Amino acid sequence: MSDRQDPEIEQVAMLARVLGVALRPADLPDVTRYWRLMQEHRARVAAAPLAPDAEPAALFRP
Amino acid sequence: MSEGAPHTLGVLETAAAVRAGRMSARAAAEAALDRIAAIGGALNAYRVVLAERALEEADAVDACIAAGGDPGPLAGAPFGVKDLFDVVGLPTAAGSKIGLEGPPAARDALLVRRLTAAGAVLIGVQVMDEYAYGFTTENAHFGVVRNPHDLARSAGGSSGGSAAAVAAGLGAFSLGSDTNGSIRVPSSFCGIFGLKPTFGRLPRTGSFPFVFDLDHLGPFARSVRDLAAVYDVLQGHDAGDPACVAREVEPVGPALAADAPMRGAPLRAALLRGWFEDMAGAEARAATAAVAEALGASGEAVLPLAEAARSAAFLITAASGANLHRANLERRPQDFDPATRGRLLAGALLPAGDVLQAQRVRRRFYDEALGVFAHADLLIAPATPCPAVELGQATIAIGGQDVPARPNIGVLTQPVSAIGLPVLTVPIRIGQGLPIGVQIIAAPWREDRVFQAAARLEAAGLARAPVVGPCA
Repeated sequence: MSDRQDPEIEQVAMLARVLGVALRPADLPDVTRYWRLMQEHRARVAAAPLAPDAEPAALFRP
Repeated sequence: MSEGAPHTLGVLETAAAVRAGRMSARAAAEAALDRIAAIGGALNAYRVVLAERALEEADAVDACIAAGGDPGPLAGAPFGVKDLFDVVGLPTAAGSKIGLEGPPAARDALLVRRLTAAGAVLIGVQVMDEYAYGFTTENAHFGVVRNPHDLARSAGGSSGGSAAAVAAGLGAFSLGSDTNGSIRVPSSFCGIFGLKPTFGRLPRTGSFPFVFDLDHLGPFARSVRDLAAVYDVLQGHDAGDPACVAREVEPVGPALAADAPMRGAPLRAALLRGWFEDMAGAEARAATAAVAEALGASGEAVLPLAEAARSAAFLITAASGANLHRANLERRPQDFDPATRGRLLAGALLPAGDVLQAQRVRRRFYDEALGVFAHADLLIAPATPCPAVELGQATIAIGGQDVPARPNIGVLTQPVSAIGLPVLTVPIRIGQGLPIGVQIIAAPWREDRVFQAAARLEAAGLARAPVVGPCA
């Protein structure tokens, strides 16, 4: 199966099209690799025990 | 006083010798330039060497002394800056091919101006990861920076050239930047002292950004007192950086002088466990335990949100970096370092809600950390999971499993910078092994405490940073 047929790569290519992010076909495997890594971080942040109205640190100043 | 070869002298030793007339500033600059000529090629620490400018600045220091003037506390100390500080007459490349095509800077970055006004002598611009997005300084455009302890190993990143230069005596100190660990990681790998001050302490005016609300600037040096001397000169508010907080200068150097009186109660140190222990390898744990013992750490602390905070920093970095470089990513993607391009493009795909949630995690983690500081003055944690990795090394073993090396070298630094706490990384060497850094962390604005602890470790002989490398 070629990279282009990999469902995860297809998913990233589609997401980029929807968001208007210009991706060259040659960049897709690399971007998909990083996108996969980001899923772990997205899940961890989403699972943090926070109230829905918790204050964000928009511009962080200690 | 017996003084070593000029390239081995630290900031204060050089300044003392120059001010007392035992050595000229020109001789100090020439020694640094000779050292770069001799071994700089092997390390690739400098992208640009400013020999002509350095000798002119050194001559000005010597002329000032000859005229009976005061050249400043850093008189004649040679230094380099990471490739993201503006240097007059040069484009600020920030490790990129694209930046190299930009216009030359009209003036030096503010911190560079403060240093040269204090008598320091700029000798060059140092190699970094492209746009500061990396932990190994393997740059597709400007080459790999090699570790002076072992040329087959990484100097760390993204301020790899700045750390390697200090470790090898190619300057008495350097300036770098730290968004997720880019001062602390190379300090750890190269075995030197590095300071990431509180977010908002030092103005970033005239430096190229990466992530606006995570970027910190700070110095590297081979001794705690040298680091303090440089840091004291760097301090001071500037409205040119909207994130810079208007605080009075709070000098740390005077309290570190040999004859300074002891003030206040002993500092309460606590060892960070949980994430910071789970992600540390054997060398990192041994070094951290040695520091904890030397500081008389009596407590332990856990920050349950550390892992989530690390992820938050990861996402905010990717999204912000992608936003900053979006136009060039679309217009000229072929001109990016391939490793940087992939990360930035993936960051461009992140949903806005994820970034907002990451900012919430960050706020909550900050509150969690402040709670710990109610019971401890200092927190102790490893700076990196392991000593310097080999160049090209694909994986590292942490937490009982092999994980990709490049994105995970910063697992222990990212949570701390995510909430802007001041950190001084001290170099520890257990036995004959490679050095590894330990983070001494304090509450916001308490840089004085991290300096006090680091000075104690240095006085005990535990934290040391001698010049290393060929012909040291």
